[in-house]
Order: sequence, then structure tokens, then C-alpha cells
Amino acid sequence: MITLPAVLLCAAGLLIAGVSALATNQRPWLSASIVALVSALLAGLIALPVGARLTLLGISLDFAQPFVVLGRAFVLSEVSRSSAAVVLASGAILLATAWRTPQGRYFVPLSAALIFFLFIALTVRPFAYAALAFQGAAVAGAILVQGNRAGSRSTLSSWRYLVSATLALAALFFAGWFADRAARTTAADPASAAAAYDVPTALMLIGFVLLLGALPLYSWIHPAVKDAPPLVSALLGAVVLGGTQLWTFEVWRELDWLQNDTVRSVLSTTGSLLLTLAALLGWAQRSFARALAAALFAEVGSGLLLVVTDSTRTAEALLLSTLARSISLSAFCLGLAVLDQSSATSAPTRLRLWALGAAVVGGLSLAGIPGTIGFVARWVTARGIGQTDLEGMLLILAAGASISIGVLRSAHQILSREVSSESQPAETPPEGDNLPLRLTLAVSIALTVLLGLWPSALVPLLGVSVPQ
Amino acid sequence: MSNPIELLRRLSEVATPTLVLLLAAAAGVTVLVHNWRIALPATAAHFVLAGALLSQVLDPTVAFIKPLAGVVACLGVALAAFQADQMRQRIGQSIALERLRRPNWLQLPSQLLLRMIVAALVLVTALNAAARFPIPTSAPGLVAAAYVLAGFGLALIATSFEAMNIGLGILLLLSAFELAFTPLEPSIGVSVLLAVVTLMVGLAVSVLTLADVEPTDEPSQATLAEASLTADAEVG
Repeated sequence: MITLPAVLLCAAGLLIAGVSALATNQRPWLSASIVALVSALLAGLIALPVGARLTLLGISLDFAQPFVVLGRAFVLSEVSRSSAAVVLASGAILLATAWRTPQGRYFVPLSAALIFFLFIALTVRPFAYAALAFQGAAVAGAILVQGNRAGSRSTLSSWRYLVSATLALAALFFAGWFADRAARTTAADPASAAAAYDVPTALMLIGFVLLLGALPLYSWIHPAVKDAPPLVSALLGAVVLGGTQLWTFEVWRELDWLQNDTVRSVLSTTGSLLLTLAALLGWAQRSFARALAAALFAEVGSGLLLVVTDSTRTAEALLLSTLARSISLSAFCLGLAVLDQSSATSAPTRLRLWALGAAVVGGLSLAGIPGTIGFVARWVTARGIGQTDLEGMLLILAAGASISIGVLRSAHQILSREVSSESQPAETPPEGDNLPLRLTLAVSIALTVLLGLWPSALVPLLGVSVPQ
Repeated sequence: MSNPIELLRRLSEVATPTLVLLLAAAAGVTVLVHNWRIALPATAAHFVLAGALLSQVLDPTVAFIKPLAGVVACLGVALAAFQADQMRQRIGQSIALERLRRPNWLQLPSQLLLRMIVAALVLVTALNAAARFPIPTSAPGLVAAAYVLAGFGLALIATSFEAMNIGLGILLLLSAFELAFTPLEPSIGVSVLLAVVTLMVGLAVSVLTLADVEPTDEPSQATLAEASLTADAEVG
């Protein structure tokens, strides 16, 4: 019997799905369905219990076996399995949402490339080589942001994202090399251990904050959300930021020398700063895109606080918040995409109301309002952080409340415009034409609410316990 | 002599300081002159010179991967820049062609002067940094070249309005990283992976160069900024 590393099957599956999406790019619904289905299947496969063996057509899948290419090992370790499964599932959810609302000419193939690169980043060893995969994801993301360009959009966010990823690439590669050197020095002279890791620690910190878009403030997340089509913002917010947060946590857990008070203090200060910013700015927003940017600041901030919290619930909270964010963003950004599309045409009012409903429910879930999946993730996060950092927990709750006000103000702004434009009746197409779109909106709303009421449905995918 | 790898090996026999100077000159032209017809050949030349510097510490066959990937990336960007120029001309936004056809050599615009001052400052800082903060176990010539390229790359990103020039800044940054890091881990795997990254970034730069051309009647931020700063025709 032939034994195949599961990681190779996953990477090959994603590549084939990407190529198929490119081949069927003329039919967006088909290409989106292919990539969503493959990602979902692979997520289910990776989420199988540790130790499970799978045999297909005489080929046995080995989850622990590494696959080595060009001297670099790709492996689904116990930690990276859950992360990879969540990233794939997030991608599947968002692409399933996009089947009726393509966001640019090569939206689906580039999204498949983005998911592929993040999968590679989570599975490659040594960790520094993940930086190459993040650079690949940045290239795909920078091009995706330019999809469906309208006159007022700019290339600023794409450049900022690319520059951040390039600087992070250099920082992480040198961090890896300096860390190896420090390990050799420390072995020869244990007294020099503390000073030997100063340079790699500083470089790792630079790499983390650049990749997460945390510092400099407003570097790429804010302009990207403003420039990108809504579902691309969702991909960046859920898959890219989620994958990067999970990778940061893996690296933090793996490297003992990184776990010192200086790093804890820098990361928690950055996290608190982002949360404060989100809490101060979120409520004042009257546009969904800006409210989303504030929400992503809060997500990155709470992720950083979680990473440095030595809590037993950190992994659980990070995985759950990534998955919850993708579900919330699928409803929120699908609603925005439909609102965007329908403002250009004379779409029926009922469709616009469904879209607005999805945007509000998704936005409130993103803010962590009770009764939504976002609340479950926010609760687990706040509880994890609250064990050691009460101020951090309060900041998370304040940011959530502030963002929810911003979401409601943005919805009010749109409703006011709707009311004022109703005085000019337009010729509307029949409602039946939009049935699939309305169904997709309804499913995304239902998923956001139902999973908020019964979060235990996510347990098999996360491989961790979720509170009831 | 017709073998490009042999040519690179012969080029690597030139003294290191001369190669570093030529590399700095090529990158300097990329920073100073923003017209793609001059900036892109200079960027391609910098890739060849960086390849020659790498062949001093690597097998020329492995080092050849760098100029190959760099030149291919530059070709892609050149095609995109040409296409963007055509599109700009069609919508009446192009000033790049005019600047090349009728350069006013006697009147230097303030923007070019600013770039020259920035480039001079960056050059001095980079050479100083190379002497003060050398990368351990790496060849001093390569370290100096890496610092100069990193400085020029950041300067280009910071002082450019046009998408293509920012992209060239990113390519210079990648090149700087490669010059500094490859001697520390001289393997074909690292060289191939970095070449793939260079090609991917080249692709993104090409797409964004085309995306920078505004489809509407409103002039782009880049065009407005340039038009206000360069009322007279210039080469840069």
C-alpha cells in the first residue's frame, strides 16, 4: 500500500482547484463552487481526529508524515492542523457566499491562490519560510483589491500591503538566521543566552506587526477595506488576518526564546492601542467600510492580546474567532456587495432590504453582539484575556459596543438615502430574478444567528471545546 | 562567450568595488528618473550586476537565477507600462511620452532635485550603515550593495507617485534582501524561492501599473501631482 503525506494531498487539491477556477473563470458560479467545495472537503479531512488513518483506492493518508521539497518540510503538526482546517473552512465559507456576486475578473482563481499560500505558510518548516508564502498571499491580495475598480479607487492599499509583506519577509528571514546563530552561541557560552536573542526577537516583532497590519497604524488594513470590493475585504479580514494570527500564535508557542516579558509587553501594548483606536473611532462611523476597518483593528488587537496571554483557552479562542469572523464577514460583506451592485442598477427594494439586513446582522456579529456567532467568539476571547489582563478584556468589550453603534449608524445612513430616493420611482426588474441571491443572503444571516445559538456545531472542525 | 552563465562569471571577475559602484549607479538612475523607458533598463541592469556580485560567493549557475528572474519581471513591467502609456494617451492623461520627446535639459524641476538630494543622503547613510552594522559572515561588498539597494528602494517608495515606480522600489528592496541573505544560506532552494517571489512581485507590479490608469475622466492622483510639479517637460 502506498502512503501519501496528507499535506501533499491538500496542497495539490488546492492547486488543482485554483487551476480549475481559472479554466472556468467565465462562469463565476462554477469556479466559486469548485474552490469552495474543495476547500471545505480538505478542511473536513484535516479536521479528522488525530491518529485517524484514511485509505482511498489503496492509498493511505498519513497526517504526521512531512513532505520535503527543496530542503523545506511541509507538515500538518498537531497545532497547525486546526489552524489549516480553520483557514480552509473560512475560505470555503466566503467563496460559497460569492457564487452570485463575483468581485472582479479573476476573483475566484486569485482567492484560491490566497488560500493556497496561507495553507503553505501554516505548514512549512522552518518558520522563516512562511514569509515567502505570506509574500505570495500579499501579491494575490494586492491584485484582488483592484477587482471591480471604480474611478475613485486607488492602488495605495495594494502598495502598502506589498511593501509591508516585503519588509516582513526580510525581517523574518534574518530573524530565523540570527536565531540559529544565537542557538550555536548559547550552546558554546550559556551565559550569553539573554543577549544573543535580542536581534532575532526585535526582527520577529517587526515581522509580526507588519504582517498583521498593526503598525504603523493605518498602514494597509484601513485603505484596503476602503479600496477593495466587499468580499475581497472579507477575504483579507478573515483568511489573511486570521491565518496570520494563527501562524503568529504557532510561532510564539514554538519558540521558547520569544516568550519573554519585552515581547509580551510590546505585543500587548500594540493590541491595546488597536483596541482603544477601534473603541474610540468605531461608534463615529457612518459608512459600513469604515466600521469594518474599525472592527478589523479590534480583531487584530484582541488577537495580539490573546497570543501573549498564557491561557489554556488561547488556541480555542483564536480558532473560534477566525471562523466566527469569516461567518460574520460573509453575511456583512455579501450584504455590502449586493448593496453596491444594486445601487448601480434599479434593483428591487426587497433585495436591498435583505442585503441591508445581512450587512447589519453580519456587522453586529463582527462587533460581538449576543445572539450571533461573533458573540461566542468574543466571549471566549474576553474570558481568555480576562484571566490575566482585566483592562484588555474591558477594552475588547468597549470596542465591540462602539463598533456595533457604528454599524447601526451606517445602516441608518443607507435607510435615510433609500427613503429620500423612493420619491423617484424607477422601473424595477421582477423579484423572481433575484431569488438565488436572496436565498444566499438568507442563508448567511441564518448561519450567523443559528451558530450563535448552537456553537457546538463547530466543535468537530475546531477540535476544541466550545462553551454552551 | 555566448553562454549567459559564462558571461555572468566573466562579469563577476570585475573588482567588487567597481561592481558595487555600477550597481549603485543603476539603482540611482531608477530612483532619479521616473520615466519607464529609462528606469526599467536601469533596473534590469541592476539585476544583472546583482547577479554578478552573487556569483562571487555562489556557483554562477545558481547566481544566474537572480538576473534571469529580475529581467523577466522587468520585461513584464515594461509591457504593462507601455500599455498604460497607450491607455493614458487615449484618455488624454499621458505626459510621459511628451517628457521623453521634448526634454528640457536646462530646466531641472524641483521634484528631480529633491530626488537627487534624497538619493545622495541615502547613499551616504547606507555606506555608513554598512561599515557600522556589518552582517556577520557575509562579504563586505555584498553588504554595502545590499544597504545601498535597501536605502534606494525605500527612498523610491517614499518619493514616488506613480504605481510603477513604487513597484520598482519593492523590486530593489527584494534585491537588497537577496544580496544580504543568500551568502548566509547559499542553497539553490533559497535562490529558486526568491526568484519565484521576484516574478510574483513583478506580476503584481504589472497589474497595478495598469490599474493605476484611471478609467474615468478624473485625472489620477499621480497625474495631478506630477502635473503640478513638472509644468515644464523633463526627462525624469
